[in-house]
Amino acid sequence: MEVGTRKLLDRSFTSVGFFAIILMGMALLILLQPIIVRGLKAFIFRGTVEYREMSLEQFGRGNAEALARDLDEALEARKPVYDILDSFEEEMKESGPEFRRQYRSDFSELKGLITELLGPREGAKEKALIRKKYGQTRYDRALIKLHQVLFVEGYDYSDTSGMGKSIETPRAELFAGTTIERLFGVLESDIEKMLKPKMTLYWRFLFDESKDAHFFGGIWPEMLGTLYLSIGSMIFAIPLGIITAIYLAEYAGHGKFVSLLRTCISSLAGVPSIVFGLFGLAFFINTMHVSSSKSVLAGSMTLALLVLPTIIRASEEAILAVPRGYREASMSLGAGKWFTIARVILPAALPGILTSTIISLGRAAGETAPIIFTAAVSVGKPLGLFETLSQPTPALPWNIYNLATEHEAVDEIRHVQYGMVFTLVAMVLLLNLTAILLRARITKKLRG
Amino acid sequence: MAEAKTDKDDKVIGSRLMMGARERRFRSIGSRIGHSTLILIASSSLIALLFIFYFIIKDAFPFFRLEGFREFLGSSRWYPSREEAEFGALAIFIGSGLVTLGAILFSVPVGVLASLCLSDILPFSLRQVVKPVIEMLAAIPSVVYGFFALVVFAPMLQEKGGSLLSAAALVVLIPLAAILVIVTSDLLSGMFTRNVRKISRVAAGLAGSAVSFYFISRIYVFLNGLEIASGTNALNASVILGIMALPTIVSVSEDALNAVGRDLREGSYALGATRAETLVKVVVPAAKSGITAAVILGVMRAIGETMVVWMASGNAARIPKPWFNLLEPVRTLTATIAGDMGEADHVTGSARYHVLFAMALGLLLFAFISNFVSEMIVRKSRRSGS
Amino acid sequence: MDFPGKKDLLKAESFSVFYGDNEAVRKVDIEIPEGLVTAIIGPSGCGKSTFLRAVNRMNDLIPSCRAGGSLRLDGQELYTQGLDVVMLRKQVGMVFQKPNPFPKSIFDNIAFGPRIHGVRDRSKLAGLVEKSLQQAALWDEVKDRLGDNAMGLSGGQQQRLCLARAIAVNPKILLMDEPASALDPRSTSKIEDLIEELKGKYTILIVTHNMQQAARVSDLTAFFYEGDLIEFGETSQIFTKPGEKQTEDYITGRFG
Ligand SMILES: Nc1ncnc2c1ncn2[C@@H]1O[C@H](COP(=O)(O)OP(=O)(O)O)[C@@H](O)[C@H]1O
Ligand SMILES: [Mg+2]
Repeated sequence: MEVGTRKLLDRSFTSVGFFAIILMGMALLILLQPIIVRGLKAFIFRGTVEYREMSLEQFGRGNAEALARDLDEALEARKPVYDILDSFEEEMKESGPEFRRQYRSDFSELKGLITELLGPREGAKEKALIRKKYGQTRYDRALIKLHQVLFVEGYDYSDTSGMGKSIETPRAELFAGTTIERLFGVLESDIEKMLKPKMTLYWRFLFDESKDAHFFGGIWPEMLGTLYLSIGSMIFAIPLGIITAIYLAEYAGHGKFVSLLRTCISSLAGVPSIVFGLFGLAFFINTMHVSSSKSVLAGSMTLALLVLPTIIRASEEAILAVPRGYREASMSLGAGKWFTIARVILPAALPGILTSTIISLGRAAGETAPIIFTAAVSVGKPLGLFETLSQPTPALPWNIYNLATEHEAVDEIRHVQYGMVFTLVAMVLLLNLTAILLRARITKKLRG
Repeated sequence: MAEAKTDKDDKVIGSRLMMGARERRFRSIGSRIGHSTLILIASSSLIALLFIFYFIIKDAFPFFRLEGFREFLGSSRWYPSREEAEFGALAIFIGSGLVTLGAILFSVPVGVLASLCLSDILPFSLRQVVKPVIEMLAAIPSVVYGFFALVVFAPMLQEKGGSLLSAAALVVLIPLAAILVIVTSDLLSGMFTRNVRKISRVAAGLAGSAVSFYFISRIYVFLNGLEIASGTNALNASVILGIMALPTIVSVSEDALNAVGRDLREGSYALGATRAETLVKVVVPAAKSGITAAVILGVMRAIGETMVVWMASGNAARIPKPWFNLLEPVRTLTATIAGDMGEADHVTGSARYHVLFAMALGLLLFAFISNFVSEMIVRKSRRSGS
Repeated sequence: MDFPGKKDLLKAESFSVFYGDNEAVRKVDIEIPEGLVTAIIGPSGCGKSTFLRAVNRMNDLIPSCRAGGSLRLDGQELYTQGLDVVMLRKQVGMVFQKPNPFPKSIFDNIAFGPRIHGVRDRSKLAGLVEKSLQQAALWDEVKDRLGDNAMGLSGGQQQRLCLARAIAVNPKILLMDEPASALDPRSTSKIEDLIEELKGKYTILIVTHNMQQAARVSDLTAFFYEGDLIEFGETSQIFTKPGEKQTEDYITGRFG
């Protein structure tokens, strides 16, 4: 080949390499961007007057006087809407059955949508479900609801070769020529006055219990469950892991047993996480009966097995990295082996062990499959410390799955899902960041 | 220090060095107890692994006794909750395989190239930026990937799947075709004598460009016209799984590449090889066992992953038509276990419960064998010193 | 060896040390008297460190290492079953080539040994720490910052700290394996002064590559070559009129 071609090949190889790296970076960005942007909206959003009413009634927060004033103004603004609805109802009563039949179902659908948007009318029967007591509490959701009020969604199947295309027609067309036609204009122009949105910081999202299956409130039970599970798994995994690492680094030679042990550790690391879950169910719950059914305890034990290999490997590395000099100095002063390990080697290896522990903590916090059958439930109260021995708990990873796939109103509570995802990712990445910084400090220290 | 005083007057120290017989026995028993406790605790991983095998086999076995192997592995009729339950898991095995294959097709080239870039091409300062990116990709929990796949990626595929795919194809194919054309025309022109070399080269280049333009435009049109019925399908799961497998592949194969010594690289450079030639012809062959191990670990990561496939693969227990059609929904082993155990949970003892353990056994055996093979490869290469 | 009024403290008879099959110290016979400084010299790899580390059985840490023949401390055979290595190492202190303080405070470094051997009382410990640091001529430099991390000291200070740490358990013998080879000349001379000071209180065995240092600080000198003890005698005699040709070659090659 000519030199020119070879050089060109070389250069294109380099750029393909760069492309691969950039692809990874982009994957991370594309993944994190919606999580951060939409996740933050669980904490910071434009809350409507309905939100403030809910907040006062359900959580006892906020200024009652200011709320009363806001509500008055909002009701004032909503009055034309209700007037139009009332007058149309009159119109229906007075007109013939033909007219009634034509509009009845469309009208009740419209009324339902408006109730969802603005909340039940004053004087209406008290609703049993909390989610029915208020209109849209978040302005972004309110605008989506408004869009549903203004437009009817349908499908266009005129192109027979392809799939149906979704199309929207203004709802006003359904009511052409009636009093209601005016309503849509009023709603569109005055929605802000009717709902009085205000920038709201809801940091208590992390620490509130949810109301009515996550329609309102926060994610404290899930947070707490995740903390219990991850810390609980560490309680089992750390002693086992460190002692194994001590054995491997300080006592074991290169015998058959040790190489078998090492093979087992790496095999354990390769076991799929769902298999851990099944094992936890079959062993800890169905055989050992550590609890009568799912519990934080059983879940922690299962997770502990999952992170054990990571902790062993990293701890062994950290122990082996302790300079020989410490060992010799301690022994030369007459210290025994145990004493040397406990007082000299482990303290020196501690930062390294800590790094791996922190990363494993993040891993345990984010694992879902092992806790499905051993610890997680979708709805629950925050547990007390001793209840963890026998009670299952909600947990962030499981509830993310659950709310995103099995909740009855998946779309309405997207912000909660994103908020959970954001919280989980923030937790895990913060833990990893701590570990990275810690490691950087250790390397610096060891260098000089 | 009570002894300190006596030490001063006591000139005879030799006599104090021996332990008494009782102390000796005491210590030897103590150290033996300590040692055996240590070994016992250190064996916890071994014990755990044995227990995992035992309990999975124990609960998988009744299924084979009740239903036999033939239906499980030979049929793809999966109706576990019917009156006349059928447990044909073939489609589910194929689903797992297909999703993993898709993931590997994406992540192996990208991962190996990225690791080459990290080990040999990027300057040190940039490496320090890329490393945390990889660590973050590895740290993000799988349910988050699953959520992204379901809530962001699936609608995107469904709405703009055709244009996405065709754009991706262009990005990959155009540079590839350009390089291919240049190299072949160079090689072809080498066969001619000096004076016609230039002309033949231009001719070959033009012809190659025309041919590749034709094929690329055909592919583009085909992909662009594709309609994806559902965004939760094998392709979605494959892409996300591929991204998840990347960190494993990159870090393991980077280790293997770094283990190839400087002298080997310098030897190649000294012969006038370019960096790409050195990497492709010298470094990668020398690190091939490590790279193989990386690929195996990547496969294990993909096949054992639950949340992403559960949320993004569509969960239809059907064999796609044709079998490699990534755009159809599939169902995998892990997702089946996760999804069906909820319903089978209370009826411990039924075939429905045990069939899930049979699947878990399949996964476990696969993981165990893969792990063993990759360890053997690494060990063998270490012994032979390459 | 005959030193009037000095009894022999350490006595090796046909003493060997093996690493696997490699005999690193070969059938050595030597009698080291109490209270003097003995220098061990020889080319690198000749078994100096191995011999030194045999005295406090630090070689036990190396799995492939074993000993043959006899090595007695004050009449007690060291390589025998049932010997209490903890007691042995309490009697035989050691200072290593590279300073190796623990990553703990200065105080905790010195107190490490006494604590192992059962001293709990805080004031007693403080007294011991002060005494040891004073003997190591480090007290004035660190008395205001005993709580600081020992890793913050300079190399020379760290080495004196290690010496103080060894002294704190009140040993009979001090082993020093090239204690000054990693230090600058100033710190080296401080260490040498210290050895001078400690002479008489402790029996000191020092391995050194530096012939001047051996000549300056030691009373006796032993010359090792390829695992054999070639010559052992008074320092003045070894350096002025050595008995063996190998010794002479080594010393003249290195001296001056
Ligand atoms: N840990 C060890 N394992 C095997 N051989 C060793 C070890 N330490 C030293 N040796 C061998 O023992 C011999 C003497 O070493 P050493 O006592 O360290 O020499 P010196 O201190 O005189 O330089 C050398 O040949 C060396 O290779
Ligand atoms: Mg030496």
